[in-house]
Amino acid sequence: MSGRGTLFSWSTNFHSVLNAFDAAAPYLCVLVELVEQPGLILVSDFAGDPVENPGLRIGMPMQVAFQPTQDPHIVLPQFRVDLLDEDQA
Amino acid sequence: MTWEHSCKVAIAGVGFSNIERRTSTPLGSFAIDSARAAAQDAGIELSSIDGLATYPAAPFAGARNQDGRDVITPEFFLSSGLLPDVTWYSQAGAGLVATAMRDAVNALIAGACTYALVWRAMYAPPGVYGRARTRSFGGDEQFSGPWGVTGPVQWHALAYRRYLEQYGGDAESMAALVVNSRRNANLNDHAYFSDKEMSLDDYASARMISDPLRLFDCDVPVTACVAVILTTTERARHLRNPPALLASIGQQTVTNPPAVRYVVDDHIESGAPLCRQLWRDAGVGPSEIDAAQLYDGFSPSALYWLEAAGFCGRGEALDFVQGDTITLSGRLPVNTFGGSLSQGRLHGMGHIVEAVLQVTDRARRRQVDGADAVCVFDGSPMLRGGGMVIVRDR
Repeated sequence: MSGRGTLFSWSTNFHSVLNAFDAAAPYLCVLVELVEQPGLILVSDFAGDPVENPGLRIGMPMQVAFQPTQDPHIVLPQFRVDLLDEDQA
Repeated sequence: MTWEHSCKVAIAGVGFSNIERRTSTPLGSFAIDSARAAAQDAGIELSSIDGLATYPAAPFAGARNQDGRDVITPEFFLSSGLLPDVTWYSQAGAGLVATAMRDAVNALIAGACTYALVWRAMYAPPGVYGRARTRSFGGDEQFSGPWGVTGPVQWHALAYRRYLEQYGGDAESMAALVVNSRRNANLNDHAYFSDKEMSLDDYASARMISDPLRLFDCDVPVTACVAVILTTTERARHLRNPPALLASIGQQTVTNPPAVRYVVDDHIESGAPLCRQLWRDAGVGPSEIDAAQLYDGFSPSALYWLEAAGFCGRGEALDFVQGDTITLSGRLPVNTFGGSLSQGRLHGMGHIVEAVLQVTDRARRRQVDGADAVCVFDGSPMLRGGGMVIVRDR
């Protein structure tokens, strides 16, 4: 896996219904379509400001980043705009 | 070729309980009120009901599924002592109340009962609706929960954001649909927001829940029960009110990868086969429909149904709902009773009842002139549910 994809959709959640996300809200969820296969869509979140999401648009190149969690055995993928690819585009 | 049983089963009576939010009155009391009201509307004794069908599941996270408290199953009525002659019952485990309706239709055609009570009881718990506590995610949820995508509002927000981007829509345009529903609810005594008006500004300034969905894009959770009585059309013609005939009824059967509920194309495409079946079985098409009751647990579902059913082309629904087209005097009145958004979260039962009232000229101040055929779509197109075409008796 290359860790690269394109932005399929996004949403900023202001309303938490799970205690685990109360502190996180507002948080930005993204759907990323991986470059490896059309229709292979990953749910993730966004490494950036959740409210101001500057200029997000469908199809913009995304690059995986990994965030540690409270559990040292678990690392979750999140995505950021792939600036290198964005420059080339 | 139309369905061989088209128009052979009818809805003969409808009944509402009170529609409240948080209440200390047991849900069972609401259920009995709605059954009594439906029997009275049909002009039959409550005790002559001999068939029961419902989809009982409580649809919010954290539900305890306690009969009589947050759900009403057939057991509740069987043990109530009110219905001593029940010969048939069914509890739908999948789909929504459309599945229970379909079960009752089948039972009546097969002669398993004579008067079937179909109901949907909904409970609004204290506190924030659907709020739950968890520290871990398993099954399908392990692929979405850890990122905070944990329920329908977020699925819908993700799907609808893509819809807006793909087709160039503006989120504020949804106000036309939502405010139209509120105007209709203001003409409906059986609506939670019966007395509360809404302006375009009220819509646009409400707090954001999951961008682009604001507060009034989400239906209002209520505690209530709505019931209908089904019987054969022949029998229904001798009862108190004119019958509303079931020209067609169907279930949404398309399966999708269960973890990916946020792809807008799936929403629309999943609804299309059901819509084709309903038109074929009823022998009518979208151009012959006089009003549409479209599921609106979240407002975008109503748009997707418009497109899945062929009322407009792909990506055109947000334009379609602007102006007068969907108002009571428009070309296709939509959610003439207020929808779930303004009547309350009744999981499609309010939509069914309104279709009945419209084709029997009993919708009072919100009656659509010449409402001969009304369609109902229940559920968001890809999250199960079903639909029906309900027509005037001739």
